[in-house]
Amino acid sequence: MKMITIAAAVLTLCLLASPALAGEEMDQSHVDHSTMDHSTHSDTVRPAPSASETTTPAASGETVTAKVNGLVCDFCAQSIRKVFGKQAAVETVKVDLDSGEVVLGMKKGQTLDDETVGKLIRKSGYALVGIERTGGA
Amino acid sequence: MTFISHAAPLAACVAWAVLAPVADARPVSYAGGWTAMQLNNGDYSSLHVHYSPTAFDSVGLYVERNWSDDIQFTGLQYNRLLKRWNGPASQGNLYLKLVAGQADPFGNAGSELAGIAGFSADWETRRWFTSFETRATDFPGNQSVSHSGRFGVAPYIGDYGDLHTWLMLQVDNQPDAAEPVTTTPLIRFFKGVQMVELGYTIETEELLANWIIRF
Repeated sequence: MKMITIAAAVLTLCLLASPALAGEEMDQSHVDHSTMDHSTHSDTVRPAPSASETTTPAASGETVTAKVNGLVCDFCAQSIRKVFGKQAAVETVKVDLDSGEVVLGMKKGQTLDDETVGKLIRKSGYALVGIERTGGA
Repeated sequence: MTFISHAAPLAACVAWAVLAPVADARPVSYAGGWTAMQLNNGDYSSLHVHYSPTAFDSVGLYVERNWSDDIQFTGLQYNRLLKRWNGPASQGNLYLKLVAGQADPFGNAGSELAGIAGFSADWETRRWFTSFETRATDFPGNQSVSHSGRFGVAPYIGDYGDLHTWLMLQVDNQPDAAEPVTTTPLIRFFKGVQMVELGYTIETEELLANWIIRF
């Protein structure tokens, strides 16, 4: 069984030493997200796990994008989805772990004000950094 | 119950937990969420099913069959997220866990009140993971404190919904055990609301198998 341990240790070291991984780490820490092209890692290129996780914001409603600190894993994303999915005004919820953004597609003619969005983020255990709104005119 | 006698070591453990860079098994879910988590190692198998009324608290049933202490324990567990640090690409947590219940020693001895108290802390990014947990048990005829720490790395970073893989090394310290310090390399698979861990403790040649599901 010591072979398993040795193999795991060697694999770990190899992965840590990988130039590709080192480059990825650097990219994440230095790229200005506002200038990034998200088309390459959009959730829309893969099947959506459930209807409530629809990843394309509603075409006719407002899109609310909340920048959130503390989103590091799928459990975090699930929490956000559950909390905002219960809101009557919310049509779709997308959580982007790469950018730390929660993108809410609102139903036509409906919205959540900044105070409510911030309250729900904090209630979920995370920290709101900022909110941007587009569409919904 | 002799938790008072554990006050000093617990205080030391809290200080250690706060000072050490650490991580956890997330004993609290989102408001309204249910979680089932099962842990199996060489000393015990446990099942914890809890409900989170808020994102900072959870309460539920805890059952443990402990071969190390020859105890079957059944109790009510309360978990509290004491502090969370949310960074732009990281998250740190400090949790308190309290369990009170009944211990049934193997054999003919009668059941007795018993309890478990623990602190766990974690810090993680999407690449790195580190955690620490201390656990004090007050079982019939055996009070003990144990510690566990982990360090892990994700060899790749997946998107939400992908299969995530972590390679981890767990180090346990049980001062009263025949092997006071043990090391367990393990692999964690994480997809959506499900998590599975498989490992092998080198010194005791025992398997580790854990899983968590959130609803």
